[in-house]
Amino acid sequence: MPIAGENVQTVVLRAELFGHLRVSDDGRDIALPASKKTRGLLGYLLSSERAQSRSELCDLLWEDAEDPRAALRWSLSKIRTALGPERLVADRNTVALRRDMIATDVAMVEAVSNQFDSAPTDELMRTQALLRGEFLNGLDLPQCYGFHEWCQAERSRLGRLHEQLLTTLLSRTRHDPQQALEFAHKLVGLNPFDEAAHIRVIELQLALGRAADAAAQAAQCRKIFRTELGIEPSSALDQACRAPVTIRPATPKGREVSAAPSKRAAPTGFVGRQEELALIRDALEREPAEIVLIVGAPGIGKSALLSEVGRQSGALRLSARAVEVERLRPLGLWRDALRALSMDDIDPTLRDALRDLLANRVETATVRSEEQHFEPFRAFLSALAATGPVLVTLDDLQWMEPSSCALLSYLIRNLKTAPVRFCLSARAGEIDDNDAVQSLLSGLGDRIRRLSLTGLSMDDALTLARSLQMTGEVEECVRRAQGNPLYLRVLSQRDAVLTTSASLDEALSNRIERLSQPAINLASWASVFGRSIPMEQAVEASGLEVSTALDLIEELERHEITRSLDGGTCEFTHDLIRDATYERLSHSRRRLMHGRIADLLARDMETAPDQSVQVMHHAAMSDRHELAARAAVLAGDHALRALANAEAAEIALKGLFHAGKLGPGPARISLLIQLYRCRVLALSGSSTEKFPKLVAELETQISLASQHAMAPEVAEGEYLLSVLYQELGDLEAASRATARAASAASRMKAQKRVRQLANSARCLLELGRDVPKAEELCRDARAFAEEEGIADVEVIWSQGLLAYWQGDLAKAADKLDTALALARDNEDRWRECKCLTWAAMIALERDLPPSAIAFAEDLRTLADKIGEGAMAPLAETFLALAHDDSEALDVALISLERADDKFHLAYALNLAAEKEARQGNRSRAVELATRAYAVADAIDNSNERALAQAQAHLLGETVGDPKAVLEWPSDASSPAFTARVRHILSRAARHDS
Amino acid sequence: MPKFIVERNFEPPLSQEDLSATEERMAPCLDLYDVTWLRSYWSEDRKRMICEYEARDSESVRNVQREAGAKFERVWMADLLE
Repeated sequence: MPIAGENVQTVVLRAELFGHLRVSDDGRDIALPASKKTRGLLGYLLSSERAQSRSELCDLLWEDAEDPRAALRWSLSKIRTALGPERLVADRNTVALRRDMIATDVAMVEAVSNQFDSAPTDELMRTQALLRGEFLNGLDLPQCYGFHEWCQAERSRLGRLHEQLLTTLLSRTRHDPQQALEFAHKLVGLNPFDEAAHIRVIELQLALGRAADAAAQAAQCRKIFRTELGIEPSSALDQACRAPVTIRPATPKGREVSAAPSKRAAPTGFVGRQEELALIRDALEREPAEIVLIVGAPGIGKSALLSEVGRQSGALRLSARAVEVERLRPLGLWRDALRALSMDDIDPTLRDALRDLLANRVETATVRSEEQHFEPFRAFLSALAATGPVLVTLDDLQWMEPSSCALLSYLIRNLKTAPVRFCLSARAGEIDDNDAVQSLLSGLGDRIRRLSLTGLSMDDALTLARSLQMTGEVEECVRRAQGNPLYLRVLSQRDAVLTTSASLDEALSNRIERLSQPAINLASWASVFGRSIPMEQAVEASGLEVSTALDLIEELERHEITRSLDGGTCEFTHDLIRDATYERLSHSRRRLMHGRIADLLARDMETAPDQSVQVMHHAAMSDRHELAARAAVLAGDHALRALANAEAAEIALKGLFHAGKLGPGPARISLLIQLYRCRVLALSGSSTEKFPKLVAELETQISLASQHAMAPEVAEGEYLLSVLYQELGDLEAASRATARAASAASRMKAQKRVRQLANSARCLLELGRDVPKAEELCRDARAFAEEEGIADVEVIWSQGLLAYWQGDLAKAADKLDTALALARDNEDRWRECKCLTWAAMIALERDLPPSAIAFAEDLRTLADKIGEGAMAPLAETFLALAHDDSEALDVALISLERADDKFHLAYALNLAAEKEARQGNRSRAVELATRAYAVADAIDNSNERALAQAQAHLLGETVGDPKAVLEWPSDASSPAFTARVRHILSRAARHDS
Repeated sequence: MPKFIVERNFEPPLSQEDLSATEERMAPCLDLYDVTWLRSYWSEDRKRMICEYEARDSESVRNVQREAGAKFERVWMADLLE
């Protein structure tokens, strides 16, 4: 890595990647960029050993951005400002952080990771202390798939490392059960589905004389296994509970954590912000009114201020908050705002219009322009404003969907004369990650009044502290909270254990830990759902009894963790509390919980397509690729119908990612073509930049669909190609694609017919049955395929086998090469394996060991991908034969016998016998031929049976029925045997004479 | 003739339509490979299936599945206990 300014003394910064990303300079935290993507980029660069190419980084975080390189440049400039220019080395192509100037906890852990067994215990303890939490906790960017995949993989890898470290520490501290128990608890926390970890906790608790705790641990383990895995723990758990107690050291009594809420009331009155309120009033009352945007850090009081603005304005309020995991729900923010309107608050004449908007009736019409689509919303708001002033307050704009942005822009432009005012809020920094919001704001120009919200003044903070009845070190708490109202509220509720030095994250975490364990469990499930939590489903997912759940919901509300909303839903009182609850969960537990929720929501997905975006999110978070792709098809169609093309394009891109992870075959092709449909239709009419790539990808899928004779998919794919060509201005190509779409059904019928003919021919030839009929079918298939212009792997493969049967090995090898290439193009793994098998056999018979080895090695690699079977031992057998390695051959033949592939076992034994005979090893050759005969006879394979008999006969031995030898055909062109067998039979016949 | 068991799992659950299509594709392969289908058990949630065949070896049974594009996890030779 190039180092600029070698002689400049630079301070080494310390970066913590475990837990929330932190960078500090001599113990002082450095303010990191607020943009989540920028922090994600920083985390990635800090974890990288080598310089990263700019294009890799763009793919990682800005795959679908309009200008990925510009977005990367912007993020790098923020990192440069935060860490200092000397620490970031970037040129036109690559980017890296100077690792000699930033020490990371991950690097320290990795340095010790390969010597866990030999490192001193003290060092391991220090290393363990570095693992403060989940890797890059809170930096989940599920919309950036490259980053998401990398982050999930790193979390798994580092989680395994942590498990190894804890296991080592556990064994080293067996003599100190109190210390060991801490590690055992951590192990359970890392993987709650590890029964052995639960058992270790129980054993240690029993050793410490805590029988009740041990029983509670066992009960907890049983519950987790039952509710989350649907299985019972093994009998080892019961045995552990019954194990005799061997040691009972005296231990100090642990801290009792009360589940009861603080007795102090928690008033929530609004305090301070008089200057800001005056500024907002002024902006909203101007003519024309300004659009107010409140920007600030999480927890700083934006939502409370927005609410206070609404309360003071006296106008009818239309309000909603955008949701991070629902960023692809078309017009989701507006629908929430309208849904929150009470019918009683609006003029009776407008109630039907509101019902229409809520029932999505406006989107069931056929193709509509954006203006037609948005006009009912404008008309409704305009009519609403005619009855009195209206204030629209939209919170958390950083997560607003593109379609909601477009509608907001439309309303602002077209409601100038109506008394409708807009007051918006967003998280500072994170708003920069949302392209749609950025372009909306830049389009508003001078009409926007941006208000940066900072902490409360000291006086206001003290007033708030007093109103919260804070006791003890009030001034210290106020100083620590730096005017952050949420922080103050959390500190006001703390128990005696929490010190004022706790950070906001720690304070929130402590607040959750004060709950009872069952309440934490329910809150955990709620946090996985996201912001708006359907309680019935959250309770079902958690496996709790309804009566128990009701008590727990009350407990969560008493502690101000959640609050109930209308319609059987609830929400966390603040997103940061939700984040803190979610981030306590281990990686493996999150995955499982997301999977369970995906299944629950998927039950109604077909009838409630609005829900499919959430299914896609939860399925993606649990690596359920098939479900995520299916949900994306529904969500994409729903977005297209709602004219939310930007969302539809993004949904399709995500769906394509998941579908691409599925195994090859018709199901994947069908999903991919449906998702390409969504992507093509969503992008049509916009920039054609992405179209050439889409054309190439679609052509591949059409070709694959053709090979499977999937007529509807081929027709759909060709239609989409015609759309793309039309957009690209190639009208001739568009018209050809349209013609192909029209003839797809008849072409697929022909394709199916060709496949059936060739498939029958190939099967008969492979099995050596009715070869004259196979020859006839082979001829028909070839003629029909040529007539229809169809290239089918079965046609070429059957021609190759026919040539093999007839003894033209060069032609056979040539055909098999072509068939192999076709199978590879079609991603037809099984046919690829079969063609490789035949190619290796032919190369061995042609005495071309290097070719045989190459084919066998490919077969060995591929065998793992197609599941269980004889391919892997067969590959080993071919390799041993090609290398002339009799020891390896014996091992491989045993494996092949175990895999129970008698056809190839008989073949390999005969080939080995032939080799041994050539080398003069008579007894070994006879033994192999005898085994070949027995195996061939078991499957009634006359070809290999005759070959085995002939080989033994040539060596002066008799195997099997001696009469059968007399039945060998004298006709050298008889189709009953392959040319190779006929050749040896002739030799045997000559030997007799 | 030896008996073989084929284990299958489906996620999402297999539909009757998909099952019929697979059966249709499999019928000619069974004859060619000298494999006889005896019976199948299909779980109520349609996520699992066990099929019983007669054949000369395991690989013939696997070949039939792959020719027909039928999803399966494993094939094993079995003795019948009654």
